[in-house]
Amino acid sequence: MLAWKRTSDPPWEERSLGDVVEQCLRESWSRLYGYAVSLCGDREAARDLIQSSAVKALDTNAPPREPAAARAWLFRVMRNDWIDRGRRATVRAADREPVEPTEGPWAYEDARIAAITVRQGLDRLEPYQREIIELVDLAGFRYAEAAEILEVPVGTVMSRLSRARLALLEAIEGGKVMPLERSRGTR
Amino acid sequence: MTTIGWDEINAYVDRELDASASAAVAAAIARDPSLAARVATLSKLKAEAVGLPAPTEAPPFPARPAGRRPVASWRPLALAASIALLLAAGAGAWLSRAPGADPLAATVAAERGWLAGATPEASGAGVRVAVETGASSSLPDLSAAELRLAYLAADPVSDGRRGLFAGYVGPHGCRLGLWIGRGAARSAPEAVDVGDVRVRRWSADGASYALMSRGMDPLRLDRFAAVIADLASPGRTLDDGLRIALKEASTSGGACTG
Repeated sequence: MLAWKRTSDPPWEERSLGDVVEQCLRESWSRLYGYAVSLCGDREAARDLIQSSAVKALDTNAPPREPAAARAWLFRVMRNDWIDRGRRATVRAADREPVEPTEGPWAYEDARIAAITVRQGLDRLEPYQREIIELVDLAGFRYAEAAEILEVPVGTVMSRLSRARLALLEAIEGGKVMPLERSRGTR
Repeated sequence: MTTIGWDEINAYVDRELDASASAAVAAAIARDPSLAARVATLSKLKAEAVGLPAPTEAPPFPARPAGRRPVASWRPLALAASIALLLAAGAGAWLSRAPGADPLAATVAAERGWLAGATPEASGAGVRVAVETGASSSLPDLSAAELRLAYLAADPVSDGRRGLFAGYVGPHGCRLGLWIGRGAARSAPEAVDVGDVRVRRWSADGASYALMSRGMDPLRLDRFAAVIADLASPGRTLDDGLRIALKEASTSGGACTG
């Protein structure tokens, strides 16, 4: 009794690389699909995207060996697949973001934050804003992992995420999060 | 007026700041109610987002492309070899010890030093190695809680119940030990603290488990024990739900004190 668990599956180190990818895909399937919906903004397109990306991932000869790295790699494969389908222009729109609310009193009504309002707010965000929240909060990636998936510096992940959350708060609150800064914003 | 930027506030909530930057934000929160309010809002927003369920209408999993199966099987693994070595060495080294000792109490006594922050000893009780790979297929993956596998020791008990002690370390140095030994009747996690070491012990699937820490908040330890006990259940694998549960456990209760 020295293994972590008794299981019919072999340990990671005894599996082929394809097995590692397939296991990661199966375990992350629903979150990958959620990310696909975030990217596409459309469930039908998301289903096509995740199927296509999964086939590409399974067909790769040199995927990462470690499960955690393989999981991040799968998200990157899907994102690249999405970009290849002509969405790069949307990705580049990510620089137009609001001004940060770091000064003055904070009068936000936390009581409005709930699962349903967050879900509704996410649906109202721009795809690039929804994407970063999907990766960090819903899929649980660290900043460095998200940076690897998005192929941007970690600092970009930080700023993109913080502004996406600000936009989410505004979507939940109805535009009352930062009344002073809104007039100077670029959104 | 606060001097902490919005990006930094977000990184603080995400536990992405290093220890000194995090301490600076915490100090600023203590003297600036408006900053504390921002942190509270972001924490609630993040908690609700983290808890959102994944979509349920995902399409079926595709079949693997025929004839294109990657075959580069990898058989590392320094860690796997280390475990095997540890176990073999542990078995031989401790066969002469008197039976009857409580294996958990003996483990706590043997690993108290590591739990307190000491580096692995080259000699003394048991066989120990520092681990650099951060994870092992033979042990639970707690990376979702930012806990990396850093230390392994052969259980120093020789009465036939020897097992394995795995040490995990958090991003700020918090230490959590998991002992796996021969099983008893199935039981849910319960607190069986040994001196200043907080211990949560349970049994399942022919194995006994004990999660232990000196500096971890009892509530957080309870949460980790519940999640890892769930993960240890027959047929359970580390899926997104458990990853989220691990991540939530890592932020429950008070801060770890070491």
